[in-house]
Amino acid sequence: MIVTSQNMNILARLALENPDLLLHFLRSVDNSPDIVSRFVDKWAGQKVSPRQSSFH
Amino acid sequence: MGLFPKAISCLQLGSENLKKVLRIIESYIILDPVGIMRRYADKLFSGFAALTVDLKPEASRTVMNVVEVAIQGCPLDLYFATFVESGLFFKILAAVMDDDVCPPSKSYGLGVSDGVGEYDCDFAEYEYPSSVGS
Repeated sequence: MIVTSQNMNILARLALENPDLLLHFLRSVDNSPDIVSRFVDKWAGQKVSPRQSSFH
Repeated sequence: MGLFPKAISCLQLGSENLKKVLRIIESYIILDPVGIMRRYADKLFSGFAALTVDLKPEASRTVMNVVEVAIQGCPLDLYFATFVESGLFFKILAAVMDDDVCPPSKSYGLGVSDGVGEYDCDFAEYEYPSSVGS
């Protein structure tokens, strides 16, 4: 799956509404102590595909 | 309303049909996001989770757009359990985190059934904070 702005928006919605829940699932895929900082780093540095669609 | 479950069933069809089906699904969600998600969130997310295997970037972008529309119109507690149980949430999370973050035993995107229900126990074990669902 490619990372698009929609992917980021979906995770952003969860981070805003329930950061504890996002943290729980982050730790379920990787239990290392620095998972949060790595996630933030990846999120901040993620290059996403443009939202444009040929359907629109 | 009877068309919607049929549209979900059509998600597995070819690419040209997929565009039309996604438009139909998106239109239904825009018209009644809470009603649609309350009745069909499980089938919808399961269909999308199966669909995200080997999708081309354009199609993946369109699918994620529909998912985003769906969750934007609903409260978190209405859809999140099925979102996780379908495996779609973990596919999105894994895409952002990259494969090297995920343990080798937890594969993503290798088959239709991969990831679906794989993390049910994680969700079941989570205790919601008191603010969730209120």
